[in-house]
This record gives sequence, structure tokens and C-alpha cells, in this order.
Amino acid sequence: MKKLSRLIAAIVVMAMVIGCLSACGSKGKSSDNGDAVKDTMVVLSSEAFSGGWDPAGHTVLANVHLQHAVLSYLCELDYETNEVVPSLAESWEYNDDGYSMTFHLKEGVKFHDGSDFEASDVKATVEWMSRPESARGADWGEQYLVDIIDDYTVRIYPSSKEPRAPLLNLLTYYECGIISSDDVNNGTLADGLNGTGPYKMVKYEDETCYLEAFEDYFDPEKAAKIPNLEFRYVPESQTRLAALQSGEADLIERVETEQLPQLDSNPDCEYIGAPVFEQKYMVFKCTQAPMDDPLVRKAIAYAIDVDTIVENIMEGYAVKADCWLSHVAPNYSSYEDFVTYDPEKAKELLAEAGYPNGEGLPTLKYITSTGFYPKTKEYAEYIVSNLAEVGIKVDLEVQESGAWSEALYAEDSCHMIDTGWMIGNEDNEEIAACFNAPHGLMDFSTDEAVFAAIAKETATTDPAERKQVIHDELWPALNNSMSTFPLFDSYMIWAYRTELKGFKAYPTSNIQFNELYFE
Amino acid sequence: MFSTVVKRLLQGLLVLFAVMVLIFVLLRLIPGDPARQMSTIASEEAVQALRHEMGIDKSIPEQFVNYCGNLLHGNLGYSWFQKTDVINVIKMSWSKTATEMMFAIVPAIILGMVFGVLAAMYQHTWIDKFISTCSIIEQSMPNYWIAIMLIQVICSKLRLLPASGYKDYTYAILPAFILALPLIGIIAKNVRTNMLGSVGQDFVKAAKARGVPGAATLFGYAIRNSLIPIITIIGGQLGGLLGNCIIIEYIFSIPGIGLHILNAILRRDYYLVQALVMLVSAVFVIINTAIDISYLYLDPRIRKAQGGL
Repeated sequence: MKKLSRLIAAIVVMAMVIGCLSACGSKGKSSDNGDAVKDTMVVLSSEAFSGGWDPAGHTVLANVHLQHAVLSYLCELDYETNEVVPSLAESWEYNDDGYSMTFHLKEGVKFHDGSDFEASDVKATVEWMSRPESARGADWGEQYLVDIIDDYTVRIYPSSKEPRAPLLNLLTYYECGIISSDDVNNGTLADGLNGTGPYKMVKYEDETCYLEAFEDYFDPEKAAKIPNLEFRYVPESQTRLAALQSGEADLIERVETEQLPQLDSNPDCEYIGAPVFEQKYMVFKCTQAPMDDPLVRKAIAYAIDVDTIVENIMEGYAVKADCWLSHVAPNYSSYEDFVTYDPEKAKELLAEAGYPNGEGLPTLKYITSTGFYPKTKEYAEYIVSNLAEVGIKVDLEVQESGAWSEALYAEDSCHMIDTGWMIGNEDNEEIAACFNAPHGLMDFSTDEAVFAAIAKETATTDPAERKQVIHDELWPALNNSMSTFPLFDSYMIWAYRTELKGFKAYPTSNIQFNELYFE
Repeated sequence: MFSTVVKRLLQGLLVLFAVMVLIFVLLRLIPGDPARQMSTIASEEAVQALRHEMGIDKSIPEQFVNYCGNLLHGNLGYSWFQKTDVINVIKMSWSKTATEMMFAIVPAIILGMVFGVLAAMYQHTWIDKFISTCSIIEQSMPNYWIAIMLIQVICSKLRLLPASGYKDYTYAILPAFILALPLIGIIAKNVRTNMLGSVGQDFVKAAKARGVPGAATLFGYAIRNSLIPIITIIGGQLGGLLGNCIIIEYIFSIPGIGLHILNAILRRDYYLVQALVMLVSAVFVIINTAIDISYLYLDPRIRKAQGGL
């Protein structure tokens, strides 16, 4: 037994060594997260960053959030009042030509590399971002041009020289975060983000972006309050939650509803769930029979019990859609004739289309994704059962995000597909990029009535009048077409440490890092 | 023996070439468009221009010839999503995965051997039963589940270790422990079985009859004879360990080879997937070749059969 004792002792020693290593780790961590007011905020992202920092070279939401900390805009949307307010532009006016706007820029603004912000930077940004080959080109709809009046005055207009109502809103978000003309002209955009925002990008290493407060930020009232910011990619939601609960992270995004009880029982953490600009859609591939028949598309829409999806599957963290914009978007207006769950009506429409009780209707291929949007598989399965009740047979395919993304933009990948659409401002990309000529981006619909309604609303520059056109002409056109059926408006849930103050949930899902502080 | 080593190395190169071709073709056959991944809402024209820029609008054989040409010049390709050369991603990530692997393998081998020998020495006692039961439990629990549970307990409740990211070696301890658990069980079980098999054999009985002390018989004869199957098992498990790294690095958000493979597959970042899978395959091939060669040293019968001394 002596030998056995020695062996056991050896194992105990090894365990102690591992324990010591663990203790070393915890010491290092506690020094990072001690009781003194912290100087570093750790934010965990659910999505990986694209290493390409050119804002025109990607549509990655994680990079968009980062850009929001590093770049500034000519103007910003005040979410309390839904009004566009000054930022890098002090004032602006519409010109008499009806299609251009003149902007008067703030003087004395510095980029993070020390260079001055001038009219040439606005010209470089707008013309670079709105190129048709830019990843953001579809948001703009066409190439925009900029005339430099003087160092601090510019005139911005669409190349078509037609009135474009979305212009001001396009300047408030990721379509137009101001970048340096030097970076555009020298081809150095991909090297790292250089902007005029409250945080300066220091480095990107190991899936983490390190930022520090920019001392020369142009608006002292909105300057960053926490000196350092670490923005780290952590794909697994349970790991993000554990990191928050242990104090390793200060703020996490995309908390899942199943995780809320854990947060409820933790006095060190709080959470906020709020509606965002994102809507979840059922997209119909309108060129694929039988989806080329609007009656079949409408029958499917009437057969889906969205209320149950919202209440029981999304657990109340969603709002049933009643038009083609999220209810928190400024141009939202409830459409009175919007489809609501009515299986009998669905059966009537099916019979009218020549498929009584679904007889003669082929099995429809329905694709949804997993691993990106919450609970897609769960509610897709429920939709399949809804459709079966009216006689529509569906073959559900759950795909990983890479394959799903290709299917989403392919014409003949399936009959219908689930997706979500997050908009940055209230209108342009949602309406124009999704549904506009020459065909819908995902549904491939070529409904001329929809195109005409989009053309009219984008040409209506008076905001109130435009909202009326959207309600009176665009919603009925989209309802008749039913190329895409909005299911619900999404919620986003953020959780944070109680010592982190100043957090507000915004419908863009962006975080105003400069408003946050430790107490 | 030299010819055997050369033969093994050539076989390894052939395997790597086959893996290269297979990965290259399979990646391009599965659904998912890398250009669309980069610019989800861009127009079809813009995406087509991007496909041309990325060179994926060419036929698969054309793409393969270009790839091989670049490879011969030492160019592993470009990561479209990370916007850097693939070699830079490897340089940044390999050490993290290597640290995890080392932290997992070394203790797993030591503990597995110790527990296996103990179980064999004290066959049919409570020690043997306890070790055998633990071994089964370790192998049967899914490491994804263990990882989530341990993160909750060790990181969230006890705050002993960090839950995510990688700044120093302490970030590798918990992931390595989870990787090591099934390996300890497998090694212990096999050591026990082989030890018991050896103990009953004639050469061990003969050693005992010659008066060789018990410990010397155990370590000099029984364990040595058990090493060949055990090394084979360890070699096989290392490949599985590399595969498990993908899951573990995903859960712990460690930017190592595994997490990069997963992200690159999801984004259809072709050249990055190609290089990283090739790297993992190369490690696997090297380990197996090394194990084959080690037989020549460990077993005189194999050495003689191969024409060595």
C-alpha cells in the first residue's frame, strides 16, 4: 500500500499544481475586474468581425457596431423625437433644384490620425459608399455626388438629379459614417478604422477590437466616459452569459429568453429587452410555381398563426407585424387590411387558386436558418403544422447560415424562406433594396405597382406627405403582391453589470458607447 | 529502416495531397457563396464583380491549377473575410491551439497511465472498480455539455478561471481539462487491459521465475509490452482531440485553429478553410508517421521484419 500512497500523493501534487495555475488566472482576472472604478469596458459581440475595415466592403453587423463607436455622421437620428439632428454638419437646407441639399460643416474637428475634417472627406465618403459596387450600394439606390462649395460647405445630390427623400436619413447611419479622404485616395481603408468618433481604434487582435477614448473628440458633452473599450467576439451565448455573471464582461448582446431567469436571480446583472428596426419575414420566391400565384402566397400568409408564435415561441419578445416596417421605425404606420390569422380564408384562397384543400398543390420547399436568428427552427416547425391544417404540405429544410444565405438570394432555391431585415434608417434600404426594380432582391417579384409606389414615396421629400404615400399606396401594393410576408418585429435583449450605467436600448441595436460609465 | 521511414513520409505526402484535392472540390460543391457572404444586400451585379475579383467565377479545375501554382510559391492564399494572408491567421492562432493540446495531452497521458496501472495492479478491488467507472463516465459525457456546465460553475459561480477569449495560458486550462477528460478514460482503460494481458504472458512469468523484483517486472516487461497498442490509441485520439478543439474553442471563444476553421466554413472563406484543414491533416499525418516509426524502436520484432538491426 506504500506504493499506492505515493501514487496518490503524486496525483494530489498534480492537482495542486493545476489549482495554483487556476489561482494565478483568477488573480489576474480580479485585478482586471476589481472593486475600484474600472477603466476598461468589455463588450461581447455575438457575431465575428470582418477584418476588412472598409465600411463599404461588408455588411457585417459586428463591424457596424464598431463603426458606430469610431465614426461620426453628418447628422444623427434622435430616437426620442424621430428628428434628424446636427452632428458633423451644423445645419443644412434643401436647394431650390428640389434634389440637392447643402450642408454646413463643423470646423475644428479632428480625425483620429490627427488630420482635419473638411468638405473633401464628405465628398470622398459619400461617393465611395454610394458606388453601385459598394456592399452598401443597394442602400443608397444609386450613386450620389458631392460638390465642394468651400472647405466647410458641400452640396450632396443623387446622380439621377431626381428628388430623393431618403437622402437625409442615409447620412445618419452606417451608409455614411465619415471616413478620411486620405484613406479613400491612398487605399488604406482596409488597414483599420480612422474616424472622428468618440472612440479610437487601437488594434485588432485575437477576435478582439481594442479602443480608447479619443481625447480630441469634437463634442465634449458626448465624449467617451470610459477610457478603454474591448469589443470581443464570443459566439456561444451561454459563455457570454457566464462571462457577464463572473464580471469578466460588462455588457453582452443577444441574450436568449431562456437565459433571463438566470439573470433575474443575479443581483449583479440587469437586462433590457427592446424592439429594434428588424422585422422577420417569410419570403416567397415569386417566379417558382405555384408561388407565382399571389392567391397561394396570400393563402399561406392567412394560414400562419403569428400571435401564437409571438406569445408562446418568442415568449412575448416580439411584436406581431402589421405593415412592412417595424413599429419603432419612424415611417411606420399600421395597415388596416394587413393579413391576420384566418385558416378559413386561407382555404378559400387556395380553392380560388385551383387547389381546394391543397389538392394538386406540390409539396413546398421551405428553408430556414439555424444559429443566427433566435428560435427560427421552432417557429418554422409550427408554421409547417399551420400550413398542414389548411392542406399545404411543406418540406422544411433547416440550413446553417452559409447555405441559407446563398438560398436567400437565389431565385430557385426553394418556394419560401425565412429571413430578417435590420434597417439603419427608417426607409430606404428596407423598401428600395428589398422590393425595388428590376426585381425584389430576395423574392424576385416584378410587381410594377410596388415599383411605382416606391418611386413615388422616395420622390416625396416632405416627411408627412411621404408617410401618407407609404401608407396609402405602398402598403396596399405590397399587400396585393404579398411577395414577402412580415411575421413580427424583433426584440433584442442586452444584459450588463449593475455598475455599468447609462445604457439605453436603441432600435438600430447599436450601443452608444460614449453614454456609458462605471459607478 | 531508413527506407521504411522514407516510405512512410511519402505515404503521408500522398495522403495530404488527397486531402487537399478533396477539400478544394468539396468546398466548392457545397451550397454557399463567399461573395454573397461578404455583401449580403449588394446587387447581383456587385456580387458578380466580387466573385470575379475573388477568382471564384472560374471553373473548379482552373481555380485548382491557380491554387497549386500559388502553393508552389509558398502562398497559401488570402482570407477574404479576415482581409489578410492565410499564413498570418495561422501565425496568430496556432500557438493557442498548441497550448490547449499540450495542456490536455501531457496530463491525460500521465494520469491515464497512472490510473490504468493502478487499476491493473489492484484488479477487482474498489480502486479498479472506481477507476473503471470514472473512465466510462469521462468517455460518455459529451464535451459540449461538460464545457457549458464547467463554465457555469468554475467561471461564473466560483470565478476561478476566465470563461472566454485568450490572453495568456490560464485561458487554456479549463478547455484543456475538458479535452483531456475522455482521453484520460480511454488511456486508463486500455493501459489496464494491456497490462493484464501482459502480466499473464510467458515472458513476464519467466522474469518472475528468474527472480526479477515485482516492480521491475511490471515496469520493465509488462508496461513496455503494453506501450505499442497504447501509443496507437493515443495517436488515433490526437486526431479526435484536434476535432474536439473546434467545439471547445467555439464555446470558450478561443481564437485558435479550431474556431478559425468553424468561422471560415460558415463564411465559405475557401483558402482559409483549405489551409487550416490541411494543417490539421498534416499534424495528424505527422503524428501517425511518428507513431509508425516509433514501433521500430519499441518492438524489436517489427524492426527485424523491416530489415533493421
